[in-house]
Amino acid sequence: MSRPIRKGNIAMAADGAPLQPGQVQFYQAILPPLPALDYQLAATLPIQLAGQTGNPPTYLSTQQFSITGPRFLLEPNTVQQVYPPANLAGVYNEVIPHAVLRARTLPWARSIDGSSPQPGVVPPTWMALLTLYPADLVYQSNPIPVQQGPLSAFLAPASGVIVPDIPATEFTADQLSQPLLYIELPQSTFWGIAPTLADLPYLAHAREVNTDGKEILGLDEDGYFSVVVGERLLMAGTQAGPTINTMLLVSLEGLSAQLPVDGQSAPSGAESTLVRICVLASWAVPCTQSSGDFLEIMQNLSIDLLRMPAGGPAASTDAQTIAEHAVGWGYVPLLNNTRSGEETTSWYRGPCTPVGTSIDPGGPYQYSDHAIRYDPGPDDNSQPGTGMFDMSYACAWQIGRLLALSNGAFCSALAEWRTQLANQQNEAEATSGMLLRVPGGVTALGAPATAAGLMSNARSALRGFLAQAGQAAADGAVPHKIPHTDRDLARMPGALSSADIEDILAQPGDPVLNLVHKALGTVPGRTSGERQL
Amino acid sequence: MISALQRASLSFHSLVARAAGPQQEATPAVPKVILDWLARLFTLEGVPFEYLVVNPVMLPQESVRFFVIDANWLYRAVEGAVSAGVSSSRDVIATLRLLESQLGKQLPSYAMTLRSRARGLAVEDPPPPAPNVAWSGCLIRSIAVSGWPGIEVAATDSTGKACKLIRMDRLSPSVLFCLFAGVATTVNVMEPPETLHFGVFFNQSQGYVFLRSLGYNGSTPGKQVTPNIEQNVAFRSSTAYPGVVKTASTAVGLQNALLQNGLMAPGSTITAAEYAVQMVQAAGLQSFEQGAS
Repeated sequence: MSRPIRKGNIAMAADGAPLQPGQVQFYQAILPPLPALDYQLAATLPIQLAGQTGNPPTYLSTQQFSITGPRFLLEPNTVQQVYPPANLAGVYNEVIPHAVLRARTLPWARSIDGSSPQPGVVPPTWMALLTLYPADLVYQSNPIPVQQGPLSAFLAPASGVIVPDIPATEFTADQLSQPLLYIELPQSTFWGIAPTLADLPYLAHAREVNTDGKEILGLDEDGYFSVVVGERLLMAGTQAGPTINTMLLVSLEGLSAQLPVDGQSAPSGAESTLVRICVLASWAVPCTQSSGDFLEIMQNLSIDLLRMPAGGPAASTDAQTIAEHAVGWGYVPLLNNTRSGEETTSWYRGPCTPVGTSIDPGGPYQYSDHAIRYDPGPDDNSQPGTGMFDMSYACAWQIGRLLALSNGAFCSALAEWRTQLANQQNEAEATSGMLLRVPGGVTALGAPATAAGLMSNARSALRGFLAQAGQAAADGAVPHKIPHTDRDLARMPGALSSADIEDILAQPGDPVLNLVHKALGTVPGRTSGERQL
Repeated sequence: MISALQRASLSFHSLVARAAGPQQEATPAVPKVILDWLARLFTLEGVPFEYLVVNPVMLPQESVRFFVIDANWLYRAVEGAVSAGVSSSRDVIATLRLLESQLGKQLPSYAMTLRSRARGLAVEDPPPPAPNVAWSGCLIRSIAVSGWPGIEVAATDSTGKACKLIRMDRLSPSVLFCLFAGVATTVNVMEPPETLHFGVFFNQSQGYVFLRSLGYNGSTPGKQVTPNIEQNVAFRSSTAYPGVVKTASTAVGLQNALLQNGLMAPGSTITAAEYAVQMVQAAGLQSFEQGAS
């Protein structure tokens, strides 16, 4: 086993250099061009008329506008990614959580105490990520829930509860009715886990990521993101099970006076006082029992090939040596009921073997029994063996079949495909049968490789066809035709031969009338002359 | 006359093509759904664990076991699968012919594209023919598998060439099954890189991080300083609320250490960005070599 490698490097771009694929760049902050505040836009227009003296009249116009931003509620897609992931158990006890936000300026978009930001000064972030252990979410033996209520209820004072210092008069009635999530934590807890004012500048930064399609730092999208970092490690689970850590992304607006101060203990009465905090996002992380560092665990793994472990007394007979080899090659002796009902011991080896194999030339097999192998016993001097069956491939055949049978979609697709195949074969057979009946035996043509070959094949086939159809084809007189002289006139009713025509013309009287008589067969021979008067 | 013959030969062309068709063309292409399912079987998907690891002692707790794939076993399983619903000797012949003419070659190459297909990546269709099935893999049974979701595995063969990952699956919460194309001799197991996060290493109860360069004075930004320089992370002393980092004083400590080691311009101060660079915990990597111990 080689030494563990602690990959401690992060791919970063040098200052000012463009971000290469796979790199990440950290920024202290990305400040919004205009923080979320109320603004007034004023325009003045002095008008100097020609010939007029004195101060020109000035026209003034003002326009009020507000820049709003997420304050008590985040849009669902604002949080791009959280770590540790929600509801995914893992060993996170040496991890500081974070939340990646899609909006790059959000952590600096408003101030914690309502003051106007100074240009060029990075204000402390107004968001914080709190890690709550199970015991932190209990107040006077009752669980502390995350509550939902309108903004008016959130800002309403209550006895024993510290409410964020945000005047309710700032809001319209409509805004006050908007719902939000909040939690009431004991002041002692808040003092214990909330960041100090001095901590806040380090607890949010911005990142620029060029992912090149790969996931980096949990982001698979390029661009700028802001990250809010917590400052409390997660609590590890125990033997009994994972510990549920609750992560809260909260707004600290109006709570700057309540933030803990380094080196000072919580104010008196903190245990019985609650602090009301606006919850922007929350998720739960089950943290499993710590069993050491990832690398420590990995280093302690035992390494071997996949086979039964060696052990036991040394082989003393040939048969034992052979059996030992078989086990070394991954075979396992298993009890086996044969078809005839007797119980025997057979070898089995799975698809994952410790040694390489060569392709079995006997396949494919029609039945599983075909794949059973017999290892001749030690009595056979030419080929000493174990005298046992090797059922490995037969088992493979059977499990393949069972898996197929358990999958209805696959079976019906297979059956359908097989029917199609049969139909296609039937059709092909019918076509070739029909072609066989074509004179000249088209199927004897074979498959010409080129068009010229096809042409010559077709030509000779055609010639054969014509040779059979008539003698004339042999002379090259195509198509074959039968002269009128060869036709059998007797079979054609009403047809007159040239002898008949000459006979009619030779008769006395009107030849046309004679022709009609002849055709109708009514007037015999020469008697018609009587009517010629 | 010539033209008449040409016409005749043209119509013959189609006749000949139809007559020769069934012999020339092999069995029609296997439907995707069948190919897909068989390729999954070919990567041992769905095969009961007992068929892979016959006896639990072959894969004890906290172990990694290497293996090579017996292609015969895979082909036998496929033969069993396609035998389902065979109702006549004609079906048997069609099935065996299908195996020999198409599936035998298609399945290994198709199986190697399964991961790309599952991830919705563009896949060459049909996939390029794969050489004979020379696959290998490893089974890892460890709390690291359950504790670090998203663990990553990469393998190289004896020549140092990367082995393509064919399949990586959790057979149970703590058992990881990996299948590689080629005979993997070195397997690297990595902590999931997307969990690159803020973190603290511990030596007993003392938390620390390793200093990283910031790009000052020609250094590579983000690179861990070698030899390692440990810098302690300060924690609040409260016993009621343990595990809270004293961020501001840790940042000041980092700033002093960076200045002392010449990693920051003299007189500069640490900001959230530098703090982030120092506190990010990079993924650990463990290399396993087959045969070595």
